[in-house]
Parts: sequence; structure tokens; C-alpha cells
Amino acid sequence: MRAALTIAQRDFRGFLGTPVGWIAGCILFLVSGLLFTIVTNQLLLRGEAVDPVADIMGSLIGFLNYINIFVIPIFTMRVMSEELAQGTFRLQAGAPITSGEIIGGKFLGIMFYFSAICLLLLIYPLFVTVFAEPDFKVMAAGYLGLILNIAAIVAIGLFISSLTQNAVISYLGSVFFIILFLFSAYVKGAPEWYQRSVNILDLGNELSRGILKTSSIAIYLAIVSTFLFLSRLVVETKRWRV
Amino acid sequence: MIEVKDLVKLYGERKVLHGLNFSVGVGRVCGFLGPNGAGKSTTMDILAGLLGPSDGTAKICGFDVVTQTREVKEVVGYLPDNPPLYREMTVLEFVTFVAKLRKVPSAQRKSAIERVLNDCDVKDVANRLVGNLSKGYRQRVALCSALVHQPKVLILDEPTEGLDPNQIVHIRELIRKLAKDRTVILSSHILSEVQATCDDVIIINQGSIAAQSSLTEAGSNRPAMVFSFADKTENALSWFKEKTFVANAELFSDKPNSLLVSFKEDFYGDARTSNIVQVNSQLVQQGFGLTSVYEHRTGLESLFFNAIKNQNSFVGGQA
Repeated sequence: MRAALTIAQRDFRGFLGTPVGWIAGCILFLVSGLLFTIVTNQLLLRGEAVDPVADIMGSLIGFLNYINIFVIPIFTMRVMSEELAQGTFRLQAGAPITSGEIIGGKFLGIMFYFSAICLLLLIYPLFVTVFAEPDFKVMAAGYLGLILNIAAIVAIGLFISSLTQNAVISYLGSVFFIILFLFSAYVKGAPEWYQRSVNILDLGNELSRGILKTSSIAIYLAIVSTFLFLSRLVVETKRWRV
Repeated sequence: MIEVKDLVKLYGERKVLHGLNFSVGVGRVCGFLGPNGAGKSTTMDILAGLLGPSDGTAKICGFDVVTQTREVKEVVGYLPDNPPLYREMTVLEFVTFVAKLRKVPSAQRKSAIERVLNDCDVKDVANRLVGNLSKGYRQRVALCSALVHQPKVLILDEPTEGLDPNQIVHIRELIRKLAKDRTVILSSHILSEVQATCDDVIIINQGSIAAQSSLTEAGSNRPAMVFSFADKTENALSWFKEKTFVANAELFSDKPNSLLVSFKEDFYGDARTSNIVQVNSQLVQQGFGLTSVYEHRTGLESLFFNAIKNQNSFVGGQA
């Protein structure tokens, strides 16, 4: 576990030591800031009764969940494919630690970064709290949904990135696979439990409306653990394939 | 310390290692020589636990690289040919990261890092970003990362590549110093490098061992000699050819007006020095205009080329 934290800490600092972390942060803040302003203005202009949590925070978190599909693969590509290509992965693979610790460390490193982003995004709930009286429990559920969505996309991205050393293939492959994964819910004849399980964007929206179910959390945990396990498998078998 | 038996590696259909067998003891520096693509790096990757062999066994300090990979990784320090470095970290941050990854106990970490920075002579750049360093410095930082956990076995893939002559000498000394209580395997395609640093040499070609020898056996004990003359080189050549203690005498192609002379085995006995002095004084008496005499160490070079030539012709004959 300590080795995983060491890797996570390094990766987190690595994001801040290179432009990637700052540019991705800027994009997320710019997009969320614009969206927050537009949504708030639109609602106020219409002069209708505004639910600060469902209308403002709900649409903001829903949109961030979409944007993350395109932002997170940049990070998973960086920590897996680029490291495989540059040989720095060998540094970790050559250390007396398990492949589970390596994958866990990489997962946590990206999660640390996005947790920091989420922490800074708390500025919007703060605004909402100053100018309205939101339901904090619903708002917390929405944030939990955002973090769980991030975790699921990171796990899927890590799996795809562990398959290739090519950064472009890694990024495009991850985005494509995540979209495919989400849209597989709409395949005709897919069982209901499957439709519900893979459509994590809907699950996120459900959470941002304050509907917190044990099954939703279980689905997220299942997705994260499955894809982390698969990434570990890929890394482990790298010793035997070339 | 290192025991390799019938090691085979297949990359898909392609066989890169054809049953290697060798062993290296404690306190020995073993040089891996061979042309590009011979299988040196693959062998080193297997020994470091990064790659699994297709067949055969390799044991490091008694630990099997397949079944006891974790233990193997604990005792091995590996410097690959393409040094793995995080360019956005400072040297100190990087070495600290590797020390943590290598599970150096926190109480000893600071002194271990200090020691390795001093040994590899990178203390003056400890706070600089790795990406801003010259190639030589980066190579030394990578060496720090291979040494920080005080490994019992050190595997170095072309450790002096990109270093300036001063640094090469320094790294050679460091390797010799480290080898006192460790086993070191280093690969290189620079023959003089191996000759200067190693005790044993293993020549790999096309995935199998073409020759294996201790460096004293490789001919360095019986060097040929180069005699240079102001003039009358031809006269000196015929003089040498008449002598019974001379095995071979010929014009030396690398230097004008010089002869390359190898002597028979009994010439290199206990009286070796006095024999050479005697030959020199006789040459002076003959008035050939002798200007210089030096030893020409051809042992490793000829071993290398002969081994590769023999193996290639053998393989060609088979085909």
C-alpha cells in the first residue's frame, strides 16, 4: 500500500510539474465557469422558480461528467502509455512491488488530482449557498456522483492505456471505448440490469438529483474494480509477451 | 550468485536466446559483449525479473527469476540501456522516489541517498531538474537509482554510454569498488571498456554464447609487442624471423615503420622482463634505429572477432 501511495504522490506531483495538469485544470474551470454563468443567467432571465441544486448544480455536474470522458484519458495516457514508451514504467516494474500496487498507485495519483479539482470546484456550491438555500445532502450526493464517475472513467482509461505504448492510440482508444461502453446500454435487447449498470452518466444524474441507492454505489465499485483488475492482468502478462 | 541454465527466450516465433548457460560468482565483474541484437539486453531483462524466460532457469542469489521474482528484484539493481528517468523531477526527488519504491527503510533513506549521490558524483546537481541535465549526468542519476538500495547484484546495460572520458574513468573505478562484495554484470560493445573493468567476459552472438573466458585467459597475460624503428624495419623483421623464441613477426598495419611481434610461450615465464630487456638491447646493438617498444593487447579483440566469425560460419554452414 505504501508503494502505491509513493507512486500516486509522484504522479500527482508529475501532473503539477508539467503543463498537462494545469491546462486540463484550466479547461475544466473555464467550461464549468461558463456553464455556471449561462445556466444561472438563463434561469434568472426566465424568471421561473429556480431549484439551486437540481437546476444549477445538477446541470453543472452532468456537464462535467461529459467533459471528463475527454479530459481523463489525457491523464491515463500519461501515466501508462507514455511511461511504457519512455521506459519509466520499467523503473516501477523492476522494483520489489506487486503490479496491483503499481496500478493502484496510478489510479490514486489521478484520483488525487481530480479530488483537488473537485475541491476547487466547491466554489460553485459556495456561490449557491450564499445566494440561495440549497439542500446540502442532495448537493453532496451530486458531488459523490461526480467523483464516482471520475473513478470509473479513470479505471477504464487505465485499462485501455495499459494495452498500448502509443499515446495517440491510447487517448483516442480510451475515449472511443468509454463512449462505446456508455452507449452499449442502448443496444436493442440488452438486459435491463446491464442497461442500468453501464450508463454511468445516468447514474451520475440520478445522484445529482439526490437519489442515492446502494446499487448505484455497487455498480461504480464493480466497474472500478473490474477495470483495475484487467489493467493489473495486462501489466502482469507484459513479462511474458513482447 | 548468478546461475543461468539453458535459458531460452522466444518473441513470438523468433528465438532470441538459444539456451544460455553461465554463472558469475561474488566479487566478479562479468562483461557481456556482443554485436547489436545479440540478446544481451534480453538476458539482462530476464535476470532483472522484468521479462519471463520461455524455457530454462535463472537464479540470482539462489532466487528463481520466475517463481521468486519479488526476492530477485530486491537483490538486483538494474540500469537499462535507455535509463528510466522522470524529467520533471529534481535529482534529489527522483532518487528519493526510487529509494521509497525500493523500500529502503525510512531511517536509512537519507544516508543511503547521500551516499549514492556522492558515489555517482551528482551531489552538485541534486536540486536541478533531471530533464535539464546533460546526457552524462542523466546516466549517472540513473546509476544512482540502480544503487540506492545497495543491491547484491548489479546489472548495467552500457553504463558508460554518453559519458566523457573523465566520467568513464570515474564510473569504472566505482564499478570496481562496488564489485568487491557484489556481483556485477555489464554489457558493452566497447572492447577496451570490458578489458578495463571486467574479470570475466561472455561473448554473445545470435542468442547463444560464442565464447566465455576469464580476461587473463583472453590473452592479456601474453601480449604481442610493437617495435617501432626510425629506419631499417625490413632488416629488423628478418632478424626477428630468425629467432627461435619468436612465434610470429609481421609489419604492423596500424603504425608505419613498426613490427608486431608475438613470442613463444616460454618467453612469457618468470624471466619475461629480463627477456624483453635482452631483446631490446640486442635490437639496439644491431643498429636498426629502435625508437619505441610497447605491449599490444590483442587478446580480447581477437577472442571477440574469432568467436563471432567462427559462430557465423558455423551457422552459415548449417544453413
